[in-house]
Amino acid sequence: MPVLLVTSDNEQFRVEKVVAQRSVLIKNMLEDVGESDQPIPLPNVTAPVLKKVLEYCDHHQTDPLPTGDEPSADESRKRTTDISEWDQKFITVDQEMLFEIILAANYLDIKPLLDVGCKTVANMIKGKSPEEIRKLFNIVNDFTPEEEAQIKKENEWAEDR
Amino acid sequence: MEGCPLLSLPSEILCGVIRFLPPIYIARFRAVCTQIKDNIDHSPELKRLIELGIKGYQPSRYFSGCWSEEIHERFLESQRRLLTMTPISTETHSLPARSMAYDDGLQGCCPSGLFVPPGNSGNIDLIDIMPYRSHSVAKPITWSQEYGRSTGTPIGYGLSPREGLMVVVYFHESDQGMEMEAQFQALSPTSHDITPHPRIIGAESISTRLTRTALGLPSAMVDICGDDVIIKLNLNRGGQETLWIISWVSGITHLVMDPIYDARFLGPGKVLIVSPSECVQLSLLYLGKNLESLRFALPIPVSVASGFTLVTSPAARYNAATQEPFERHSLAWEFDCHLDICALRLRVDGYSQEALYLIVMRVQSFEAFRRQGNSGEGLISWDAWGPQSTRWFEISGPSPGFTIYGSQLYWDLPRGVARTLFGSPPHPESFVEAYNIRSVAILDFNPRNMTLAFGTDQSAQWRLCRDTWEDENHLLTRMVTCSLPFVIYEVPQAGWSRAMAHEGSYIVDILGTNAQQTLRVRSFVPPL
Repeated sequence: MPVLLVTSDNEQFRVEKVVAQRSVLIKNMLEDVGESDQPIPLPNVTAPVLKKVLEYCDHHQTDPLPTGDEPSADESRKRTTDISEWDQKFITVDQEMLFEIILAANYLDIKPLLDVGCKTVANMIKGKSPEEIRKLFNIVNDFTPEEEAQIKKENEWAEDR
Repeated sequence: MEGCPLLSLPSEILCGVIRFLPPIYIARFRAVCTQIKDNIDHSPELKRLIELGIKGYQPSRYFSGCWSEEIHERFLESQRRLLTMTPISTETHSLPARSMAYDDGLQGCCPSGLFVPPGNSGNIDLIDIMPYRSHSVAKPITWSQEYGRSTGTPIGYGLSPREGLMVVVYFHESDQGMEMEAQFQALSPTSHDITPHPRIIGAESISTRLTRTALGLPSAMVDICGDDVIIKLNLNRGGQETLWIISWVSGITHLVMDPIYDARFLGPGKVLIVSPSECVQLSLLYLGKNLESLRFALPIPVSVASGFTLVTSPAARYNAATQEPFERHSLAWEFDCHLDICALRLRVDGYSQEALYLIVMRVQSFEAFRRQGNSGEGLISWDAWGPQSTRWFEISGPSPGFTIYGSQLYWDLPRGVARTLFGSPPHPESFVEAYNIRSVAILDFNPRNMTLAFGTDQSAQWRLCRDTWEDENHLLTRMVTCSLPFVIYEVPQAGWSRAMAHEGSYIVDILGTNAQQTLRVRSFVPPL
C-alpha cells in the first residue's frame, strides 16, 4: 500500500510503504497511526531533496534495516570512508544539495544515508589544509591571531610534510 | 554562519562527519574556525582520536587533558613490549639487479619505487621494491620526456611519496644565458600514472636564470618538504652550489642564493643553509610571506674549508668510492615531524684525510634562540649555542657513514680515532681505538624512548650506554650522555644501512656477503 508524503513546499509524493520505511521516522509514524490514508507531512524537507532521498530509499529498499543500536566500538573505530559505487554516484551533487540530503537523512532518521553524506563531507575535508577547507566550504577564519598561533603550535605535528 | 551549509549542520552531525576523518585531518580541521574547534574540543572521543594520530605516537603535551590514563597505560605497555624486541628482522630482500647500480644514490625514500637517474635518453625508470608486496622485483615504469614537455636536459629529480609529487629539473642553455626549469607532476602511488598534481595552483613549470655559468652540464638535487622544494644546482665549480627554493604549490620562488655549500630542510618551512662568508655560516631560514632567518657563524674560516655537507633526517649517504660527500643524484627526502637532530659534515683542507665533524644537536635549540629575542639579524656566537644543545665529534680516518631518521641516528661505527672538539686539550680518554668489526649503531635521541626503555632511573640509562660501549669506545658515553640521552641498538656484522620507504625500516648490508637484510625498527606503534 502506497504512502503519501507531503513536503514543506506542498508537493505530494506517493511511494511504496517498503520504500518509505527506510526512514525510521516515517516507519514509527506509520506504526503509531496504523493503517491510514492520511498524508504524512514532512515540514523539514523540500521536494527536490525528498525526491533525491526517495531515490536512495528505492535503491536500498531490500537492504537489511539497521538495528537502531549505536554502532559497536569496533565499527566506530574502523571509520572506513569507503562508499559503494552506486552511493558514490548518487551523492555526487552540489554542496548545497549534499548538505540538504544530510539534514534530511538526519531528520528522517535514515542512518545509512546519513553516513554516506558524512563520509562524503569527510572525504572532501581529507587531505586539505585549514585554508583550503575554508575556501571549499566558504568558512570565515574567525580566530584571533593569538588563538591561531596557539592552534598552529598544537598542530605542529599535523602539518603537511 | 551565513552562507556556510557545513557550519549550519547540527553539531552532532558535524561530529559524525569528523568521526570519519583520520586523526591528522581532525587536527587540521580543528584549525579552520572556532565553531569547529569548539565542536572537537567538547568531544573527548574526537580529541582522543587526535592523540592517537600524533606522528611519533606520543601523547602530545598540548592535549594532556584528554589522553586518558587507561590509554596512556596501554600506550606505555605497548612501547615497553616493542622496545624489548630485537630490532633485527631476518627477512632478506634482494633488489633487482638493475637498480643496484644506482642504489647508492637512491636512499630508498620513495614508498614504491627506486629511481634510475635520467640518462642520455632523458628517461627515468621507476622500479617497485616495496618489500611488503609479493612482486618485489617489479617491472620498471618509465617516466619519459614525453611527460616533461621540456626542451632542456633533465639534470635532477625528486619525489615526494607523501604528495605523490615528482619534480624534474631541466637545464637550458641558449644565447640569452643558462636557465634551470623545475617541472611538477603527480605520480600516483598505486597506478604510477603521471598527471597534473591536484594541489598545484601555480604553474606546473617554473624557470630561473643562473647568475653564474656552469662548467659543463650541471646536476641538481631536489628535496621536497611540505609545500616547498629545495633545488641545489651543482655548477661543477668546486664545492659551491646554487640554491633555489620554491613552493611547488603556489609556484612562488622564495629564494635564489649563490653560492652555498649545502642546504637542507629542518621540517616544513624551515631550511638550514651552510654558506661561505668570512667564516662558515649556518643560516636557518623560515619560509613564509616574509623570509626570516637566523644566522650562526661557525668558528671555521672559509679559507681552510673545501666542502660542507649537511646531514639531516632521514637519510644521507656518503660515497666512499669517490670521496664525495654525496652522490650527485637528485633525491627527495621528507621528514618526520619530530626532527631532533641534524649533522654537519665538513671537509677541511690541511688534514691528511678528510675530517668529519658531526654535530648532534636538537633542532629545538634553534627555536629556543629564536624565542629568546635572537630573531631577525642576531648573529649567535658559537659559544652561545655550544654544549647544551650540540655535540661535536671530529673524526679523522675513514669516515663513518650515518643516516638520520627522525630522532634516531644510524651510525656505521667509526673505525678511526675520535676526539672531542669541545674542551681543549682533548681528554686522553676520549681517544679511542678503532672498531675491528664494523657494525651499525642506532642512537635514539628521543628522550621519551629513553624513559620508556629504562624507566626514569637515569643511572640505568648511562649504564646501558656503557654496557654497550665500555671497552671499545668511550666517545659516545663520555660525550653524549651528559645532556643528550640516547638508546643504542647495535646491529653486529652490518655494513652500511639506508633508510627505506617506510618509517623505521632500513636496508642493511651484511658484511662478507652480497646479501641485504631489512632492518625493522618499528618500535613506536600506537596502541590502536
